[in-house]
Formats: sequence, C-alpha cells, structure tokens
Amino acid sequence: MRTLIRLLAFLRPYRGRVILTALTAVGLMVCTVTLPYLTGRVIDDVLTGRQEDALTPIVIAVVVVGVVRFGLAFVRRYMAGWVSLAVEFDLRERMFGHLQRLSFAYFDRMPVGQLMSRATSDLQTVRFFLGYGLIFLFMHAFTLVLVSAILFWINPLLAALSLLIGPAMVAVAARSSRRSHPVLVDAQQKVGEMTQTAEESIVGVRVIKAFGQEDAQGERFAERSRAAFLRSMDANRLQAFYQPLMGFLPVLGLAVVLLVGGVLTIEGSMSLGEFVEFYLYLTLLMWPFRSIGMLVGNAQRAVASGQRIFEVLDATPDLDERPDARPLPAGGGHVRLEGVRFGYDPDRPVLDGFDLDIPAGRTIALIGATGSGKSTLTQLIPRYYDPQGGRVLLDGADVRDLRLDDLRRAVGMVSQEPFLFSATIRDNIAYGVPGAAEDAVLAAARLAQADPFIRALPEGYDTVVGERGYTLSGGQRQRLAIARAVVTDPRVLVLDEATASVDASTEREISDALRAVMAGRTTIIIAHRLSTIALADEIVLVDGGRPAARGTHDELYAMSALYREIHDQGLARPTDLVGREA
Amino acid sequence: MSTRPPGQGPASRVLGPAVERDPDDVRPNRVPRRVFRKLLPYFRPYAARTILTIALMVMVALTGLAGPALAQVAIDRGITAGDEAVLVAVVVVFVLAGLVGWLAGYWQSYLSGWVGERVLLDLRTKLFDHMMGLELGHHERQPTGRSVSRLTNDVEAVNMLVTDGATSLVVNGLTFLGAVGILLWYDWKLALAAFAIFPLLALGTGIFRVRSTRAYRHTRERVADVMSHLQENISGIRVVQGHGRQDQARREFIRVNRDYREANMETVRVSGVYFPGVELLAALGTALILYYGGNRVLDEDLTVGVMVAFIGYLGTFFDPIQQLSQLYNTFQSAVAALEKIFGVLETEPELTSAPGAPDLPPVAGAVRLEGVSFGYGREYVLHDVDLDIAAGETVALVGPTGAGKSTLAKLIARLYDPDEGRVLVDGHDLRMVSVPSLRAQLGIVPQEGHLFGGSIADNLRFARPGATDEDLRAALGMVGALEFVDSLPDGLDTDVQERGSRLSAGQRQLLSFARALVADPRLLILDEATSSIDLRSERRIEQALDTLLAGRTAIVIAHRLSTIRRADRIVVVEDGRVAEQGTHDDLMARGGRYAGLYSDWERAAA
Repeated sequence: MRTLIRLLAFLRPYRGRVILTALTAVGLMVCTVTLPYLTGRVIDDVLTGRQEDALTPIVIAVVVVGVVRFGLAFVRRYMAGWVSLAVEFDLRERMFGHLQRLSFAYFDRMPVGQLMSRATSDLQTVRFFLGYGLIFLFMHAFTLVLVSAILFWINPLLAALSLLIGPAMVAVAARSSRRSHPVLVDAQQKVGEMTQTAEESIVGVRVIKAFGQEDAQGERFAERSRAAFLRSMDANRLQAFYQPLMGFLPVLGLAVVLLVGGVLTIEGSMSLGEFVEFYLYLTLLMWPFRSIGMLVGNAQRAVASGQRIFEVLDATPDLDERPDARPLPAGGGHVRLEGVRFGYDPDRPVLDGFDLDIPAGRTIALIGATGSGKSTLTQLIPRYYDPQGGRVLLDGADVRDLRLDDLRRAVGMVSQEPFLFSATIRDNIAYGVPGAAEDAVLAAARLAQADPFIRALPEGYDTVVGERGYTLSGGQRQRLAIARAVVTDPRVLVLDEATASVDASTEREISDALRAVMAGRTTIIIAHRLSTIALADEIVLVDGGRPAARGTHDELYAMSALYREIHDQGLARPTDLVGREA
Repeated sequence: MSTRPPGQGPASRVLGPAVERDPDDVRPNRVPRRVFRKLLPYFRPYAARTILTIALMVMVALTGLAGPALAQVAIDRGITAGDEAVLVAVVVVFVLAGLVGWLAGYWQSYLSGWVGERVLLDLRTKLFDHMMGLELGHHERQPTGRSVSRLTNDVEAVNMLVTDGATSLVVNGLTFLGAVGILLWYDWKLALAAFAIFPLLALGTGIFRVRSTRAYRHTRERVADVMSHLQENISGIRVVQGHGRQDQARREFIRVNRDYREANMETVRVSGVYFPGVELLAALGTALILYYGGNRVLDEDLTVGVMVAFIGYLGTFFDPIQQLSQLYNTFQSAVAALEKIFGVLETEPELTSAPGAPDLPPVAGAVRLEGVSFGYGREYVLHDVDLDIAAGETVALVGPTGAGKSTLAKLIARLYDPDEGRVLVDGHDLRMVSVPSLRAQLGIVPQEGHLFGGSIADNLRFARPGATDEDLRAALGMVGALEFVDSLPDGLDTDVQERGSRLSAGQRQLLSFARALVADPRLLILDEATSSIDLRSERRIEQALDTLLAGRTAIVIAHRLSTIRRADRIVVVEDGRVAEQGTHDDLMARGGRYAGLYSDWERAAA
C-alpha cells in the first residue's frame, strides 16, 4: 500500500492533466452510453410508436454524439499518453540521476543486468499502470456503475439476473491474471537463459570450434530452446483456457437477456426498444468486467515493480561529499595512508592497518600476489571507497574532507581493461574535461604516444570507438586510457596493470608513453612485469593486507626473501636470462 | 469498439525488451511471398495440426458471427411474432454456439500456439546449428550482437506473426468477410448504405498505417538510444564517477530521454486520431443504418430484427479492420526478420569436408605446411609458407604483432582453409578428413580464456564430457588452480557466471589451461597470453606447461621468453613469411631477426 501511494506521488505534478483525463473519460462514457439509448428511442418512438418526425432529430443526435465522442476520445488518449510518457521520463531520469550518485560499492553488489531490468521492464510496468491502468480502472468502474444503474432503471429483475455473470467474469479474469503471471515470468526467464546461451556461444565460438564441440553446443542450445518452448506451452495452455472462457461468459448473460427479456417483451412488460437497448448495454459491460480483473493483476505487478524501483531509489549514497567539503589544498601529490583498514566485506578486511607514505612526485610500484589488496589500496585515494578504519591523505588533507570532483580530477586512473564510451576518440580523451581545447586533447594524446595511431585511423580523432564503434587493440585502448587520465593533469597517477594485456613490443611503446606522463606526478604502478616495475623509483611489496617490504630493487633483493622468490621465479625477464647466459 | 487493455497496443511491443538498432534493418522487399514459401517446409511435419488449427479458426469465426443473426431471429420470429417456443430454441442455439466457440477457441488457441512455437523451435535450432557450422571468418566479420539478434529478436518477430498474427489474420479476415456476406444476404440495399463508410475507413486506415509505421520505427530507434545510453553509463559508471562527469552524463541522458518521449508522443497523436476516428465512423454507420433502415422499417420493407442485427454486425467489422491494420506492422517486421534469418541459413559454410570424408585416424602429430598462402580479405596475410613440425616437437612462433602467427595457428586447426597450398597432419590433407575427427585430436588454448555459463566442472569437461572429477582435479592441480577452486564455496560446482565478475582474468586463464589438459589432445596450439597471472601462478603454469607439452606436438604463439627458451625450435614469423628458424642459441648466434627482437625485449626490461 505504501508503495502504491509513493507511486501515485509521481502523478502529482500532472494533477491537472490527470483530472482532465478523468473528466473526458466520464464524458466519453456518457456519449457511448447514449448511443444504445438513441437506438432504443428509434425502435420505440419511431418504429413502434410511429412518430416518423422523430427519426431525423435522433439520427442527427447520433452523429453529434459521435463527433463529440471523437473529440473527447482524442483528448483522453492524448492526455493519458502524455502523462504516461511524462511519468516514464521522470522515473527514468530520477533513477539515472540517483545511480550517478551511488557509490562503487553499490555497483559491486548490483549486476548491470539487474539495474537495466529495473530501469526498463519494471519502469514500463509502472508507467502503463500509472498512465493507462489507473484511468482505465476509473473508466471501467464508472461505466459499470452508470450502465448498471441504467439497466436497473429499465428493468430491475432482468438487470439483476443478467449482471450475475459480472462477478464471475471479474473473478475469472483476476484468477487468470494471477495464474498466468508467474508462468509468463518464468517463460521469460527461460527465454533469457536461451538468449544467454546463444550469446555466449557466439562470443565463445572460437573455443567451441577449437575443441570441435559444435554439435554438443548445438545440443545444449536445443535443450535451452526446448525448455523455453515447454514453459511457454504452459503459458499457452493457461491462455487457451481463460481467453475463450472469458468470451463464453458474456454469452450466458446475453442468453439470459434474450430469453427472459424476450419473454417479458412478449408479455408486454417491456418494450421492444427497451429490450434492444438492454441487449446493447449489456454488450457494453463485457469489456469492463473482463478488464477490471486484468487491471487488478496489473496493479499488483506495478506495485511489485515499484518496490524494485524504490529499492534503487532508496539506496543511500553511502559516500557523499561533506556539506563543508573544501577545495584541494596546494601540493604536488603527496599521498599518505595511515592505519587503513578496508574490506569489501567489512568482516574480511583486505587491507589491515596499512601505512604508506609516498612523497610528491615519486613513482612507486606495488607488487604482490593476486588478491593481496594492491588495486583496492589505490581505489581509496580517489575515494572510490572509504576505509573502515584509518585515513587517507592527499597533500595533507583527509580525502573525505575534500570536494569529490576536485579530488577525482586530481587522481588519474588507468586500469587493465579501460572502458571506452561509444563516442569519438576526441570525446573519449576529453572525457574528464568536457569541451577541452583541441590543443589539450592533442597534447594528451601525444604524451600518451597515441597520436600516431589515431592519425592513421580512417577518421582520425573523429573515429567512433567503444562497444558500437571501431575496435581498437589492447595497446591502443591502453594508450587512449592514459591520454584520458592525463588530460586533467592529475597530481596522482595510478597505473593498475596498465601494460598487462599487450605484447612485448607494444609494451615498449607504452613504457615510453608512461615515462613521459609520469614526469612531475606522483605515480603508483601495479604490475606483474618486471619491465614495467622497473619504471619505479621504489618498490613496495604487499602481503597479507600490509606493506611487507619497501625499497629499491637492490635493497629489496637483499632484504626480503619473498621478493627474492617472486623475482627469481618471475617471468618476462630477459635480463636474468641474459645474466645467466652471459 | 472496445478499449484495448493497457500493454496490448503496439506501444508495448515497441517498448518491450531493448531493441538494438540493426544495420541490417532494411525495408522488407516488395514480394514477401518468396520468403514465406521458404518458411512453409518448416510447417510440413505438423501439417495435420496446422490444418486442424485452421479449421478451428473458421469455427471460432463462425460462432462469433452467429450472435447478431440469432438475436435477429429472436426479435423477428420470437418476440415480435410472440412465439416463445422459437425464442427458447434460439436461446438454446445461442448458448450452444457459445459453447462450441469456447471449445473451438480453446483448442485453436492451444494448437496455434503449439504449432507456431514448435516451428520456431525448429527454425531456431537449425539456425543455431548452421551458425556453429559456419567458419570462424564469418563470425569474425559479424558483430556478436547481430548474430545473437538473429537467434532472438528476429525469431521472436516471426513468432509474433506465426502465432498471434496468423490467428488474427484468419479469424479477423473471416469475421470481416462473413459480416459483409451476412449483411448483403440480409438486405443488400441497407448493406450497401452501411458500406458507404468503407472508403473513408480504408483511406483513414491507409494513412494511419503509413504514419504509424514511421512513428513506431522512430520510437524504436529512440528507445534503442535510451537503452544503449543507460547500458553504457551503468557499465561505465566507475569511469563516469572517476572523472566527475555525473552532471554531464545526466544532461545527456535527459536529452535522449526527451527525444524518445517526443518520438513516442507522435505515436500517441497518430493513434489518438485514428482509433477515435474509427469509432466516429462506427457512429456514422449506426446513424446511416438508423436513418435509412428506420425509414425502410416504417415502409414495412425491413424488420426491426434485421436493423438491430445490422447495428450488431457493424461492430464485428470495425474490430477486425483495426486488428488487421495493426497486424501490418507485425507482418512487416516478420518479413524483414525472415529475410535476415534465411540470409544466414543460405550462407554456405566455406569450410566443409569433402562429402563422406574419412575420419582422421589417431595421429602422431606431424604437421606440414606446403606453400601456404592465405588472406582474410583481398590481401594475403601469409605468403607461401613452408613449415615442417615433427611429431612431439614444441615450436614457438615469435614475431611482431600482426606478422601472421595466429593465422598460421588457425590454419593448422583448420579454422580457415588456405587459399593456396595445403596443410597436412601425419600426411593427411586437412580438407580431406572430417572436421570433428581432426578437432577431437587437437586442443587450442586461446588467450582470452572464455568460459561458458555453468559450473567450473562443466567448463573443464567441455571437450571431454566423460571426464571424472578426479581427472578434473588432477588437471587443476597441474596448472596450480586447485587451491583457489577448493577455496570457492561450492568448489568444482561453483557457477562461473554468478561469480563471473569475481573470477579474475588470471583465474580464467588457469581454468582454460586446465580445460585443454582435460581434453588431452595430440596436437596442442597455445596462444600464450601476455597477461595478468601473478608471478607465483606463472611459475606453476610454467611447470604445468612441461607436463602439458610433453609427448605431444605443440605450437605456441609465444610471448614469454621462458616458453621460447623451452621450445625445441623457434620460428620467427615476419610479414607473413617464415623469416628464420632454429634454437635460441642458433638464432642468437646468427644475429638476425630474432636477435633483434630479443634485444628489444631486453631494452624493454632494462
């Protein structure tokens, strides 16, 4: 109920239009109801009563009512459509805006698919209910009351008898909606699974072919398709049962009218015109009876969808800027971690009492096993996450006291698999500084050694990349990401496995790019490759959520058994090979 | 005359699942008959059911038409004549017709759903099998989304037509024709008077069809924009927030959201005029019948019952026309979808074994390339390559990116056929043996480590469904992944999808290594990843490699020097040719390409 009230609140800005829709709907129904009445008048007054002069005025009235109804129906449809689209616009905009404010931790928990389905199918359900469902519910209820009243007025006995099927229809419709819905959802789910199998088979076609598993995979897909088929047959059976049943029930009502009404007319207690009117009125009621049952089902679904939407809207951004946040203090990018404790699950800290001081302008490399917390550590600096204990300082200020925009612009991040938007290369590079000057983009691209390959592309800086654009190689994407990171001229640069997915010759090009962009900034490098690590002034060995050792290569080699182990068993190290063979 | 329930109009179809814009979306061709003739064979296995379904559709339409006619008999012969017996008889027939309609409706609805879905199941399965049979090159040219869309959206579009559309076409068509026939039979003069509104209706429907098709297409495109914008911003939210671009992103979103809303308003306007317009015509029709029919009744040239029946039938032919005009959109997209589907089905696989090609006998694994040239497009990537690899030998392919190493490997796996020359395994030309028998003896470990939905065990068993858990554990142990798999809550049964994003790239690679080990191929092709396995795991992989390569022919596209050093022979590929080959020491001593590449690496690591 609370959800329903909250959903209704979305209509508040459009109160005037909603009321107008309701009023036109009332007028519309009155017009519709007038038509059988006029038909009855023709039969009774003109045909039976022989008032021949009355025919023309009544026919004109029919035309006038038809025209008025046209106008009202247009206004009603237009308004309902307008409101429905406005609500959809608002809801989606609210959701999008809210998502922009939620923290990284939220997106770690919520899969993209989940959020998408809430922003699309749930939103549709709500919009149809608020925009159309409510008004139909109102229209049908109004029709029911109005027409029933007329029927009782014409003949109470016949009305009572023929309306007996009403509750039956509502009940059957509601039951059908309730029973089919879970089956339909499940059938949809099965279709989703089939789609997923199709998708991964196409994406993984190399693997399938490599192992000669085309037939087996075909069987797998056929199995999924069959499951979807069987489930939709269940839905089909339900629909096949209920739809014709709902077509049959009105027949019973009309049969009552034909039989009882006919007898009454023969006996003279009802006129022929009234009989025909009654018959026509009853046909007017069939649709409302049927719809009300379905609309009740829709309302339930809209509430369920509403809950899922509010779940997103109610998620509080747990990482908000302080009201008194201050701008970035002057400095060269001095990073300091003091006793930092952090875990994605607070009970299982990844970092536990981490202390680290990186002087401004220094380049350090973090090394350690996968999962030792190296990446996590760097994500605390631009406040992608807040630590659960201790603090992170940038140029002497606790990052939680700083303006979020300033802070994030001051920290450039380049990750292993950089995400590029479906936009031009220029826009992707200028992402952090919308409307950046052409010079700045070019400078960043040159610094990242991306300029030559960009120029070689058919449309140069205007080439569209990303999911729906030109496919770049790993090394090219990497260099674009580096250009994007440096265009804001950050004080701190984090290179998280930035060279992992490129081969040795490309790596050399990137290393040159890195050396150029690192100049004058504090840089944190995470890498497995010693050649990349060699770019650093100092190495910090991370183990068990803490810094285990720190120093230059020589110092660490002498000091730390763990470092020696990693170093000696490490790969991609032509140097030691040469050393041995020399 | 009825108000359509929410979510059943064409709007819900437009706003259903996200519709990707498809570059293949062409205007359907003018003669769709050809396309449907191709679909016909798919109905053949279910011919009996199909015919029964159509018969039932006719019954449904007929019982639907009976109502007003029976009412007419009740009024004229029963009520006006004062004959209660006739009245009772009519009511009994009326209820019986309803019952028959109910039963026929049940079976018709069930059967048409069954036949439609069944045909599409067959079509879809066949399409999938065909796609799997197409050579890799086809898949590399086609964006993933497009192929998936053939299997899903396009088949779904045909579904709309085959199940709902066909029923609607037959039932509504018959109802319309039936109503016209009955009215003419009743009284052709009054019928012609009532049909006076037809030209207007036809004109309006024609205009509506054109404008709504355009409006809906426009809306679909805008919806696709909204969806892709959402998708991209949610997937890339970390980048958005990391760059403080939230406000900008929000402004852009408002823009696409508004564009969509405006596009959709056009559909509201178009149907806002059309549907009430049809009702207005119905009212005009009623007025015509009342006026002309009323006068005729007064002249005692017509009975009241017939006039009432006319008014009753008026509804039964407006409804079908509205339904049929909506069907047109369904029809159009189904034709377009079918053309695309048959487009794929008619793509001949370029890579087929000779019919009745014998199986490749168990091989020792000697590979031989003779004068092989190959190109993906017009230009050759490989030029006249000769290469001999002895059974059991480990060969490392090295060279700059784009030199043709991967292509060479793909030809050996027969993912492509050479344009010139031939590829032999143990003396058998690959084109002369059946593909499955070759692949069964061949393992490829690709770089990306693609995993399929399902458990880790399912993935490891991919190439050898009969492998026991012990086999799997042994393989995991060899690549050093056992520890991490055991640490997962469900061990081998852990679903890779659920934890999908949590499995690191390194872990995926380890699993794909283990998958190749389980397959136990005679001939192994390893596209060595350059990547992100941490140093200790790499050490384990190196050891695993010793086990993996022992006793089989191995072709490694190498990036690690340790692998290169371990190889029996190094083949340097440059510009699509074998530039030089030999052991590390030989090549270093020769001071050629390899020595040059090597010094590059050296410098990179310095």
